[in-house]
Amino acid sequence: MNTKQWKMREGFLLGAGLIAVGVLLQIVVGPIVWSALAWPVNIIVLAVLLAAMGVMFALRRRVPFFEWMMHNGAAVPAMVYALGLTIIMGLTMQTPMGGLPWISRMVRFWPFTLAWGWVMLISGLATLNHLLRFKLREIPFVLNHLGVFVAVVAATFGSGDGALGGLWLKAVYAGILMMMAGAICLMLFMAPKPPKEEEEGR
Amino acid sequence: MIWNNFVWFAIVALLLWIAGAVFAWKGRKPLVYLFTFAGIAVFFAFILGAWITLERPPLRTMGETRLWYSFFMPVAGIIVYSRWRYKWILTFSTIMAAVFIFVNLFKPEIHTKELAEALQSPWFAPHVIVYMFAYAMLGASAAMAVYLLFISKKEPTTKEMNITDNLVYAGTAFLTLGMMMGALWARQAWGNFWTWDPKETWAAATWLCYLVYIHLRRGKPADWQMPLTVALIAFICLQVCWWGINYLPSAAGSVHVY
Repeated sequence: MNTKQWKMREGFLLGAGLIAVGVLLQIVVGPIVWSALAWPVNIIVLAVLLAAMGVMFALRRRVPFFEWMMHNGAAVPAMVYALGLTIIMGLTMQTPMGGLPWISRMVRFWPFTLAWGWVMLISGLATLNHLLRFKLREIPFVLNHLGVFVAVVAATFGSGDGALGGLWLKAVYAGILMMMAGAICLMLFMAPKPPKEEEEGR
Repeated sequence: MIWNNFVWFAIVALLLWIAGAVFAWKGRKPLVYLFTFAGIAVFFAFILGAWITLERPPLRTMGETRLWYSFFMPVAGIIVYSRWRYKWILTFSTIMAAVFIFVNLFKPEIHTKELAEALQSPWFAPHVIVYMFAYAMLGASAAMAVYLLFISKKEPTTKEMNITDNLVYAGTAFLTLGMMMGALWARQAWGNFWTWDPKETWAAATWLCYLVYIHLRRGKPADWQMPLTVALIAFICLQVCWWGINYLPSAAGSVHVY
């Protein structure tokens, strides 16, 4: 398959596939048991994930799919799927027992986790792509994408141990601070410049 | 008690803002600033009075949050006006402020009960005010989207898209700051950064939707219809997040519903 030409449409198809895989997992494996991510499983899974990201990044020139994953064509559909499931979650009463099957326990629903995980993976890869350019103007991008990646990943993997603590906690704080700094950058440096000419608007 | 005086402050502030908006149409810049800031000062005097009388920041009830919304609409309006000189923006912000003033006048939701312990925090005021500012900026961006999609109906100019982008960027930045402050506060108060409380769920949805707008615009700057439609969907999410969840059965157990 030639992934060089991949755009947003392929992203939507891939996202649909991811949801289907999630549903399949939900049926076969059952709902996600987050406590399974307790030490040392969390650190092992995270290490594998980070190593996989490193490999994907290293092979991005040879495997166009990995290159595609670092850009908007992948990011927008991923966010749309995560958004759709989050809206469903917002419209459904979340309860540990009863309610609707699957979606009343959205945080334990595989497609929800896979969709958000996909967003985070893309965000992490995009970070690597911009981080290694070592340019001053990449700082806002890196703060925004690395911030959300670090905060969400550390909070998710760290909470497998029950109470968030130690390095996990520090990482979440670091991620949050990066996101806040990134937000200020978004406003000050990333927004398009207003027209210089003080002409009257409509 | 304090609400009995509200009508006088509100009328004076509103008249000053209307005058500011009228002078904006006439291109009388100094008078625009004079009247708008005078209105802001009068309205803030009421907020300050309420703050002192209540012995806490007036941020607890829907009525009190609407007070801040009425206050920040003209503030956001005058900032946008001073930067881009859009004549209509002050009319928009005045109308929005008026809507919330009238809601407060005709449906006063006055709660006298003490603040919940978790709310007695230094995070309280910045968290809500930053969100209010986000709501105001994003409200203005939604107005731009409606104008460009349904009223002007022709391809927007670069300047028009720039102002929409700017409003969304600034609004999303405030949204992010508010959300992060909320997470830090939640950690302090409840021990968790994020619990997928219905308000948080809708905040995440809103945030994500605005991020879709930003990514669409950065990916293909020539596209405008889809991003503007996304901006409107995001604004609907924002309304659900802000007040809609009070009416959603799924959010009945939320710690944010009051």
